[in-house]
This record gives sequence, structure tokens and C-alpha cells, in this order.
Amino acid sequence: MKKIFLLFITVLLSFSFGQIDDNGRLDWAVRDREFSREILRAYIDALTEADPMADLTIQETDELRVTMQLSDDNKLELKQLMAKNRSGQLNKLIESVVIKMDSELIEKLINRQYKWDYLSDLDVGNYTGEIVNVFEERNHKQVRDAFWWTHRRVNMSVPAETYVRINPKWAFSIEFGREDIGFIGASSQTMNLGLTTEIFKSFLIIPVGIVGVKSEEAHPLDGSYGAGLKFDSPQFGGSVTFQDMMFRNNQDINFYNGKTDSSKVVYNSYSGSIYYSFTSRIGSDDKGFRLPLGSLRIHLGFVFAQFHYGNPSLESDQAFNLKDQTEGLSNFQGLIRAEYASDMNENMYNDWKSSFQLNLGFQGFGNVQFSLSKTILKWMSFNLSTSYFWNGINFEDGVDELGEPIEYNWNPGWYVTPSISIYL
Amino acid sequence: MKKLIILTILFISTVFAGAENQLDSRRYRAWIVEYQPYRLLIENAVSEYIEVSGENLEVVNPFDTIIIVQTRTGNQSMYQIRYGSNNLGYTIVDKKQTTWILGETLTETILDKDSYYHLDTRIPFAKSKNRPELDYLAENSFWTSTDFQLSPNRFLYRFSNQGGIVYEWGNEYSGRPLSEAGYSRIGISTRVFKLGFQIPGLGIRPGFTIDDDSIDNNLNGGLGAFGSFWYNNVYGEMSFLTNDENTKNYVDFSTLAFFNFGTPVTFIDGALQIKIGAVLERLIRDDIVFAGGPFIRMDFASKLVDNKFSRLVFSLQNVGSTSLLNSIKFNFNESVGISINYLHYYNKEYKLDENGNYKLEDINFYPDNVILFSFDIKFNNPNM
Repeated sequence: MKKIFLLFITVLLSFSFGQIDDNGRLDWAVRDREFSREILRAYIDALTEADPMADLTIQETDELRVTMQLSDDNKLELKQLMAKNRSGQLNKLIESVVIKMDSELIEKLINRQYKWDYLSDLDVGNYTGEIVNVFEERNHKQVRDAFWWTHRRVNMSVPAETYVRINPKWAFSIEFGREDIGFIGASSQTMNLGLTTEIFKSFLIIPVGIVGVKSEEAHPLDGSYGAGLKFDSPQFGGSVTFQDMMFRNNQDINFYNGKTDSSKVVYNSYSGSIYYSFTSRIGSDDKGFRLPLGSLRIHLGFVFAQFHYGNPSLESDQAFNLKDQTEGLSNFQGLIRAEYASDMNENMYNDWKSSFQLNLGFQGFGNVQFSLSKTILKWMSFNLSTSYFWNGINFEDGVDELGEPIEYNWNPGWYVTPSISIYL
Repeated sequence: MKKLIILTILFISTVFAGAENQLDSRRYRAWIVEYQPYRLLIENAVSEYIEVSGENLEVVNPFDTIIIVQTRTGNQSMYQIRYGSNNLGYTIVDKKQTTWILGETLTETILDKDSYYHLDTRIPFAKSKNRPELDYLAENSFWTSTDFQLSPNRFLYRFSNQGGIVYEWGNEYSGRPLSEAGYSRIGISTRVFKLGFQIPGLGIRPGFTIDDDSIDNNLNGGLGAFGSFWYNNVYGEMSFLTNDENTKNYVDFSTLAFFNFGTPVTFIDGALQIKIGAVLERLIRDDIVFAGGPFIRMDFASKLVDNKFSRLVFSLQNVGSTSLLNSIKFNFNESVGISINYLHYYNKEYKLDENGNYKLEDINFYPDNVILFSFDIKFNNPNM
């Protein structure tokens, strides 16, 4: 918690990086070599004119640095000029000599209409602690993209997901499972087939299952046809999906039952989720056993997911006999998700990726999922995803011979789904 | 110094020049900076540049759209920065000045667009010289150009350039404005998507039915979720509602998609926007029925007053078997407007016949004609 707070504070602090700071100070380095030489030459001339025996520690080839300061009447004024030599030593230009220099030249220097660059706080001696450089914060999008789609042209993961970037704006996507409501990989007998953009995904839900290792009594979420939308921006995101066994009034029963006993079918009829997210830098690039430098993104939100339980009557009236459905608070879950991706390398892939997700049902049902991905070749990674469900959901399943109600406890179980990704 | 002043005047004079600022999309790419820290860095850099150089340049306002234009050829350097709004115009900073303003590292960082949140844009490539009315319509169709909007059909509080909180009553695009849908929506709105939950709407009709003897039923609400997007002139949405088994007469599933086309109107000062698409709604009655069909909508906005608002906005919309909607909105000023909506229900739905096929049949559920009143209050937060 302390670390998160510290990172939050440092991100806020980093907004002022390199620009006018809280003390009204502004520093920059002159990157226009010709102009820098012109200034330093003029300074050396003025210095030797004032004192022919002066020690010339400053050379024309040094890097010229300018420091401005906000005055009491809120105007920026030249505070000092420094020269950084090749060995990194900073030497201050003598103020009395600078005053004697051509005023138009100094005015041109102050006006900053040439090539220049910001200096970091540490570089100008304002050590302010563990400051995260705001320019490194951009990596937040790497972790977003790593779990949203791909930076490569093609990312084909067998069997979990596939993204083909048709052009920079659009990608064709296939995703197995319903990660948004906690059913990753083989724990849901569904495939999302659709189009992905920078901001949203629109997809059809197809009832198809994939192979994975699962518990003996596992009953994965069954699949049906449907559709969905997913959204994601740096701060907000979520999803809406819809599936129905009987979209046209018992005329089109289509499902994929993950359990051999097809008399017990549980599918997600509706779902909606919404979350807030934030991203922080994490890890280090030190050698040894450590978390590689990357970005950590946290999602906090809510999920609404309704489950229908029933059995299809395929032989007679082609009906799905809905026996029970989740209602009220049992439809709601709290969502906590963490995504980590190491910084993308020059080959545009993240060496390590990992995610952890908790879906906490308001009435006991819940699950935890974990995934890990390691790039083992420039074009290939090995992935593993696991999920475990607890408590399950009790559905009414009719009455027995004595007229007593029967319940079916749907417990999805646990799953381990290994996969291989190929990047092109 | 005189030279500098002349150059500055020349530069400023080109800022709002219009068509000559149109760029060739084959040679340049353009995007809007959405990532807040980078927006702040650019805002600071421009203010700082004005401070040190003394140039008469506009500052970047918190809700300005900041567009980066990059050359596709050569060293793919930054070609321009544009900031401002569609209605009020953009300040254009040319290639040479971008390096003076941003410095090397910030320039490189901003050019690395795939590493931060951005949205591609075609604003610098737009052919028409001046289309503020179209932009006014587009801006107010989905997102907002003000910090706060209060109206019966939409409450929106924009807490940053990245998003806001939205509450919408009814679903005008599906032909059921205000009380007519039975539900309302609450959630998050951004420039490109809205997302949230559906809840029951207010149980009052802000208007009246025209025919005294007509039926006066209303659809029920429920609990559910919705999501919608507006991306490159394509709009899409999906929503659902759930209820207990005994509740009937509600839209349990709805989806809608349309393309948006816009054109300035020359014979009357203003702009016309046309949306063409389709709506599909599934309703739970005693049985499952469907509604919707082809969607067409036309919005006309009169010439902007002071480049800020249209005095008159006229809309005509037809949604398949559901309804015909006609609305007129009159804006007194930038902040306050009123509107009158005339809604005609077709009273037709697709029902399952004996042969197992869906056929369009007459129903007797909705009033034939409804008049609905609305108002619109918008203002900006002076502290933002």
C-alpha cells in the first residue's frame, strides 16, 4: 500500500519534470550546437578581454545550460548559465562576464527559439527522492496493449487467443473464454470472434470449447450464441454481453455443453462490467533475481453476470427448459485485476506478462485466476492460465418423488490451460 | 526584433486561414493526445514558450483538442501541433516552432504515439474549409463540449478531458426517448464510448398523448447494462435488461448501429447530418417479440451564433416498426435551450406465427401520438 501511495505521489510530482518547478526555476540544455558554440565563444572572448590570464575551464564544445528563475513580479529572468564538459563536470559562467556579452545574443538565448531539451531534476541537482520520470510513464500503454491486443502484426496463441492487425486501427480477434466475468480459457465453452480497435472490441459469442486440464467434477460455463462489446481506456473500461439459448423463442437452441451430462446446462445470459484502472512503474533493471522493469495496471470494478440453469429438450419441442436463474445480489461481483508486462524490447514484445484476477461474488460465489507468459524465442512465447472457483451456485432443479425441492450445485471447479503464442 | 514581430504576425495570420491548412493524408498522419500527463506537459511547454519568447501565441486550454501531425516520409518528424476546438478553430504551430516549444525529449516522446493513449483523427485532412455546425452536431450527439449538461434526456458531468459521469433517460436512437423506453442509464462517458448500468426510468411522462381515447401504456424498466461507441463516424450500442419472471413489457435486449454522414447546407446557413443504420430490440411480453428495423435520422443545425451554439436544431428520425420522431430544439443562448418532441408510434411488432416465422403484426399497446417536452442547460466549470 505504501509503495502504491509512493508511486501515486511520484507520478503527480513527475508532472513538473523538467518544466517550471515549484520554486519557479526552469532549466534547459541548448542542443543547437552552432548556437551553443556562438554563445560560448562570445563568453570566452569577453572573459579573456576582461582577464587575459583567466583560466579557461569552459570550452566552445561544452554543452550550454540555461537556468531561468521566476522573479517576484512573476517574470522569468536569467539566473545562471552553466557549461558541461565532456567529463560531465559543470562549470558556471561568471555572471559579471555574461553581463558584458552582447545583449541581443543573450536575449536570443533566453527566447529559446532554437533546438533545446529539458533536463531531469537529478541532472540539475534538485534531488527530490524517488521520482518517476513522466516519460517512462508512457509504458502504461504497453501493459494495456499487451493484454488488450498486440503490437505485432499477428499474435496467434494456440489455443487461447489470436489477433491479426489488419491495419493500425483494426484487428481481427479470436478469444476463448469469458475473462471479463472470471471464466478464463477452458472454464467457459465460448469463443469471442470479432473486431478490435484501440478503444473497443465488438464480437460474436460462439459456443466452442477448448482443451485444458481440469478438475474431475468440473462443469465449465456452457456456451451459446450471443454478442458483446468491450471497452478500454487508460482510466475506464468494461463490457456488455448477451447470450441466449432461445434467441428466437425456442427456435434455435444452440449450445456447447462442457459436461457430458447435457441435462444440466448453465450459461451466462447477460453480463456487464465496469472498472477504473491505474498504472504504475514496477521492477528494476538491476542484474540478478528481480522483477524486470515494467508496468503494473490495476483494475477495480464491478461485474453484473446473470446465469441461467436448465436443460434442453432437443428431441421434442426444441425448447430450453429454464429451471432457475441467478437473481438480485447473486448477479453482482466485485472485480480486482492486476496486469504486469515487462517493458517491450526492440523486437516489440514483452518478455514477461502476468495477470491476477479476483471475482468476488456478493453472495459467496467467486473465482481467482492467474496467467503467466514468457517469451522464449523472438517469435514465440509459452503461456499458462489457471482458474479456481469456490462455493458454486445452487440452482433449483425441480422436485423429487416426495415433492421435496432438489438443488443442483453448480461448481465450475479448477482449470489449467497451457498455450503457445507465435508472433509475426 | 522587428523581424521577429513581423514573423509573429505572419504566423498568427495563418492560424485561422482555413482551407490552405488542409493537409494531404497520404503525406501526414494525425492523432489527438488523450493521455493526461502528456497533455499537461504540452500545455506547460506552450505557456513556458510564451513566457520566455514573448510570442503572441494562444495558451492551451484544459479542454482543447491537441492534435499532433507527423510526416509519413523522410525522418517522420513532427510537422505541426494544432490545438483548440472545431467550433472556435485551431492554433497551428508549424514544424520549426514545435521543436522550440517542446524540446527534443518531449518531441520524441509525443511522436511515439503507440506508447500512450491517443485517438487517430482526420481533422487536419478535412476538405471543407469551415464546418462548425457539423462539428457542433457531432460533438453534441455523443460527447459534449461543455463541462456540465443538464436535461431530462441527459445529465453529463465532465470531470476531465478523459471522461465524465452520464445519466440518460430513455433511448432516443431506438425510437424511445425519455419516459418511452421504461429504463434509464447511468455510467461513464468518454469521447468514444459510454458504459454503465441500466436502471428503471422515472415513471412520469414529461408531456401528453394527443388522442384522448388512445391507450397510454409505458414499457417497464429493469436492471441491466449498456455499452455504446462512436468511432470514425460509426455508432454502435448494445444493452440488456433483466427482470423477475412475472414482469412483462420491457426491452430485454437492444442493439443499434449506424453510419454518420454530414454535409454543410449552402441554401440555408447550417449543416445537415444523416445517420443510416438498423435497430433490433427484443421485448418480453406474454411471448418474445421483436421490434426495430431500418434506422434513419436527419439532424439540421442552423448557423452557429458567435461560433458557439446553433439557435435551431431540427431532427427527424424513423426507426423501422417502432416510431417516427420529430423534434425541434431552440437554444436561447449557449447555455439554455428547450425542445419539443413529437413521437408517433407505429404499434407494430414482429411476432411468431403458427408456421414458426416472425411476421410484422399490429399491436395495441402504445399511444398513437405523444408530445414530449425537454430542456437543456449547459455550462462550463469556471474552476477548471
